[in-house]
Amino acid sequence: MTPDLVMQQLLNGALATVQMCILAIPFATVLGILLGMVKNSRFRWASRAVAAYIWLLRAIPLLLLLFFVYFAVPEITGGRIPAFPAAVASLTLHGAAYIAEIVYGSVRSVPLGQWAAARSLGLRFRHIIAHVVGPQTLRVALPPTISTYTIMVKESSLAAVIGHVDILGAALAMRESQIRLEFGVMVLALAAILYFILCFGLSSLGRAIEQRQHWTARRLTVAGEVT
Amino acid sequence: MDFSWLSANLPALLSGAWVTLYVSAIAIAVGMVGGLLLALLRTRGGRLAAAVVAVYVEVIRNVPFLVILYLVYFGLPLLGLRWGAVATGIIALCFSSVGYTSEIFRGGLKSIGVGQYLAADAIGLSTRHKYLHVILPQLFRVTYPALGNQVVTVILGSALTSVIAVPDIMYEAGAIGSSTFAYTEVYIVSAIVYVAVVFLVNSAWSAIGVRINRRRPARVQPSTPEVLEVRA
Repeated sequence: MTPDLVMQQLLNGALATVQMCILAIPFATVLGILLGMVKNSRFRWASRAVAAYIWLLRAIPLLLLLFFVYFAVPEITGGRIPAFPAAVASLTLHGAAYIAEIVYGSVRSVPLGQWAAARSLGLRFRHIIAHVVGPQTLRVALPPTISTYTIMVKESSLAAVIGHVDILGAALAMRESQIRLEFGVMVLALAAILYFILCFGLSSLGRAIEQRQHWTARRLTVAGEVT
Repeated sequence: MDFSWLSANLPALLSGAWVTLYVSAIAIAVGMVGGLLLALLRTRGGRLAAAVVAVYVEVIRNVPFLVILYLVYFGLPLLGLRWGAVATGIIALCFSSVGYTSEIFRGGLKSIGVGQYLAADAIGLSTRHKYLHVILPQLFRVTYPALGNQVVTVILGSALTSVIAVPDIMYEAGAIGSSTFAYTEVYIVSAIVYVAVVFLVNSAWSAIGVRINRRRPARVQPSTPEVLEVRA
């Protein structure tokens, strides 16, 4: 195999990895925020059910969830599920549990006085979320959420196990096509570099946003002290 | 739902649970010792050592465990070592666990005030005694909750070693599923096994934690946020 062809295959794989993450990350974020808010709500049974969901999803390996979706769900429903939607669905369900726990913890980190003050000003629930509690929650939740995103990018490599040709899948397929051991290790090392670039880029982006936030927060406090 | 396969195959699942536990136990133990060494090297070992450790940790944190696992699996024979699946899985898990655990210890070391070192020096403790009796006990208590998360992470992460045929819970589940075609039931039962294992480990960890903290209450507040930041 020529180096060009190897790179070509790996980049195609990278495209598949990015596709999975571009779907799974927003889905997991939305679902995670909803679940986190339900866990925080005063509807006791809903909150308990969500707490159980979060606990369960965090106590089983993602590989098990993936195999369940890929092998077991078709047994129940009768239809076949291709690898791509199975991977996106399990990444979403799994990531949502982690994000829900972050959202839950972050909302609770906002002092209750903030809610009370906002309510006494006559703000509606959605305005309290949008202007008072939301921004404060976001500041706490952002760093662990970004690190959950990089974890999701890494976990998307599990899709290769059920035959989806992502970065790892492409590397494994090329390895199988050649007998020499060195070639397989080299291709896997290239795959590792690609994953590193994706994840390190994402976490650097997260750090940059965090820095900006600290800066804004400081400016706000200074302005507050002046007035 | 058909659970008739269970009586014949339960021993296989339980032996899988045993493999999961002992593979994880080795990786966790190596992770703690190696992680502590790396964290000390990174904070006290000079600039070169710190840089090397930093690169290692970043690689471990930004490359999927599955890729590391395959690299070890195909890389070891390249070095002339043919040790079989279980040893390979344990080695890969150790690489990963050492990296993550060193980050936990590094965070813990940061949270211990410089006054503790100065005080230990002031009363004339040797370096060995300073670490053994002053720094490490505090470090262990501060990082205790995060280490518990890491223990669970390693146990769940060890499921991935089933793809290189380490006969753990996941591997046995796949084998039973492909011979009985009762994937749904098999995966439900193996999920229950994992949940039971995680629940037991979690409970034991916090029970021990309560005892440790009752004896000598922690004075240093944990700097690591409660939300999980490290997972394989």
